[in-house]
Amino acid sequence: MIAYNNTSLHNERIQEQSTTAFENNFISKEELQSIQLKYPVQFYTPNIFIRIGLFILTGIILSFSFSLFSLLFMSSLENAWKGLMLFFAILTYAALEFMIQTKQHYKSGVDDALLWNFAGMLFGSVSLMLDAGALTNCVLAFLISLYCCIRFADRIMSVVGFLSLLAILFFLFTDHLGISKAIIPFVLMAASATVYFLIKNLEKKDSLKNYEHCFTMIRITSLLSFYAAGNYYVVREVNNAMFHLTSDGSLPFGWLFWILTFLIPILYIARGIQKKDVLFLRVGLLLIAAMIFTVRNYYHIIPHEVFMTIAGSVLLILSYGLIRYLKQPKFGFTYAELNKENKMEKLQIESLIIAETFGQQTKPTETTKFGGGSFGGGGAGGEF
Amino acid sequence: MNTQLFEQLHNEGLVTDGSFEKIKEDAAKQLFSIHWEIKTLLYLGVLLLSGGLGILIYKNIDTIGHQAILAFIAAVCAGAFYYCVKTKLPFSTAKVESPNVYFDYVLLLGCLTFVSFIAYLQFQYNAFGTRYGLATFFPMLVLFFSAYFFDHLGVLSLAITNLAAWIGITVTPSQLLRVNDFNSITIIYSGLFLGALLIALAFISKQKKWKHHFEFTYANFGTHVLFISCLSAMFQFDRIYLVWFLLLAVLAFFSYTRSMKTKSFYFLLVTTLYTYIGISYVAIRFLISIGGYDMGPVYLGLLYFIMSGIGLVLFLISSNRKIKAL
Repeated sequence: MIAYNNTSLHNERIQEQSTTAFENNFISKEELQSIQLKYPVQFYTPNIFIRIGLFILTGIILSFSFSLFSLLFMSSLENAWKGLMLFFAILTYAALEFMIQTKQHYKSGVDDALLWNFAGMLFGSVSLMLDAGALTNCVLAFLISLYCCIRFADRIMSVVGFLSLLAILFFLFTDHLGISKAIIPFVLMAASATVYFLIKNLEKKDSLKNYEHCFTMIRITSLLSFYAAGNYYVVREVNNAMFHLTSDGSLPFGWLFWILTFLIPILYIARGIQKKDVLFLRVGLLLIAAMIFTVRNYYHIIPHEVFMTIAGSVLLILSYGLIRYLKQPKFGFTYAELNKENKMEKLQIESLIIAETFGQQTKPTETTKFGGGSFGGGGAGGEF
Repeated sequence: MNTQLFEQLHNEGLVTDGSFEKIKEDAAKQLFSIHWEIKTLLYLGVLLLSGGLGILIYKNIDTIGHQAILAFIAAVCAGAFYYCVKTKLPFSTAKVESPNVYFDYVLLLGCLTFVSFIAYLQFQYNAFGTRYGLATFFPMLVLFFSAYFFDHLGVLSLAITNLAAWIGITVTPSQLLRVNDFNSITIIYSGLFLGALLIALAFISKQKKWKHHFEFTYANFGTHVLFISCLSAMFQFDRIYLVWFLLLAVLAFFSYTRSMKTKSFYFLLVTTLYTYIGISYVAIRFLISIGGYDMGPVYLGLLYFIMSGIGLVLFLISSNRKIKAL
């Protein structure tokens, strides 16, 4: 099923766990080395920055190959470019399988670029050939991303697949089934919840361990989509933009969506704390922000700056209190960092964020004009 | 952590009894760290509060009065620095850990309010007259001093952006290309100068062991500024672009050897990509000069990108292996 070597994937998980154990000083260096010797990983997986570079370069190679390719055949065959795209997609796929099977590339940037180019080309060519409408496009995207997800266990592909599934339902209910459009939010919420529990069950299966990262991504996305489908702002604006259900733009059963807007983030956080689930906790915290934006979009009780000041003070007091409270771990919660390994890297990122968010008040003396649009590497093709 | 896995490893004799005990103990504790969640909340709180207060003061400036606001900013600034001086650990040229969780934030608050204080003085009372340089020079000195004295990477980044502003360009990552007008010759030269200066500072930090963990920040800003200035010089002075290309090649060589020496994948990637842009520019100029607008050079150009792309992929793969082997 999965394109990558199963044994190596299995061993990679063992090595990853052992490395974490080593970084936490649970096992010694010799133990780690003997584990790595016993469970070798055959994959070619470079450092993350090299992965980025290889991704960009493979993308450049592919796009220029496609240009060369179409330039050679374009003159002789008119209107053949849809077919050319399909043919090129097949070539890319062959290259992808070759790199994975023979060259053992795994998360190397090369396989990522080939995968995404293949998927994009295939989608584009088939969609153009069928002259597809919205629903057909969504079905197509779902099928392609589902295949890529099963075969290559790509995380973002799994998100694309899940979202296109929701889009299929959306377009089915808007255009093709003669049922009231008012139930769409509930259909989407039900679909998100169903997918969430389905994934939760699949996650427990040992045979599907290779897909654990895909499952996590789908769980996060389904939690978010469950909220978005019931959020007052989203429902109201989509209704007004697409269906014009009421003449004055108000939302029928608005109170129901207001309840959902408030309740879901709180339930998420409560569950995150109760079950010690990072996923629920972080998504819940994020959605609190979404909730506040939704309210402030419709009701301006106090001016922005007063609200910012109050919210900032509340957050500061809250976090100060939590730090004091959790100095000694309580109920299994702690403020201390459990993994100390990448502290240096994190500090660098933090300093960049500070320069980015606070550093802009220092304006340069004579620079206002827009400049430097000509630095795109591959963009040089425009010179022809 | 997965105890099942380690039980298996333990049975296979790969993990000793003692280590397995430690892992079981940790799993039994079931500690759940919310460190980064709280840190994010703290950061958001600072951002919201400072932004909100800023707008509040701005809107009510008529009723509060400038002196009162200046006094308030000065008081906050002095208070923050007082706290930092009192609680800081003794100075050392090596890395000094911050004494508690709040220290870094309080120091940041002090530095930011100091910058605002100077800006306010200049804006409202024209304290430095038309010598605008002074208005950025003072904060810069204070920021650099604080960064070294209290050991704070964030303040160092602020100091570098201030240094760049004093010289006349913007260097925050997202604005480096967007705001600066790299068609202006003065900016290109200042960029080259600033980049060289920052690289030199990075080198000194490491060599003399003066806060050697500052090296990355200096080198990061320096490398980007230097490469971008050099590339824009190539595009700008297009009659002698080959001279600038030579400079780019020299830069690339030094940056490459440095990244290999420091085992930095990040700088290796940055160097490769900037150099690739330069080489491709030269290649396209060359193709245009030989063929005009014929089809031949177009094919050659496409072939160039395909071949050079493959070549660079191989180069990155081999460099990756070399760094790992070091």
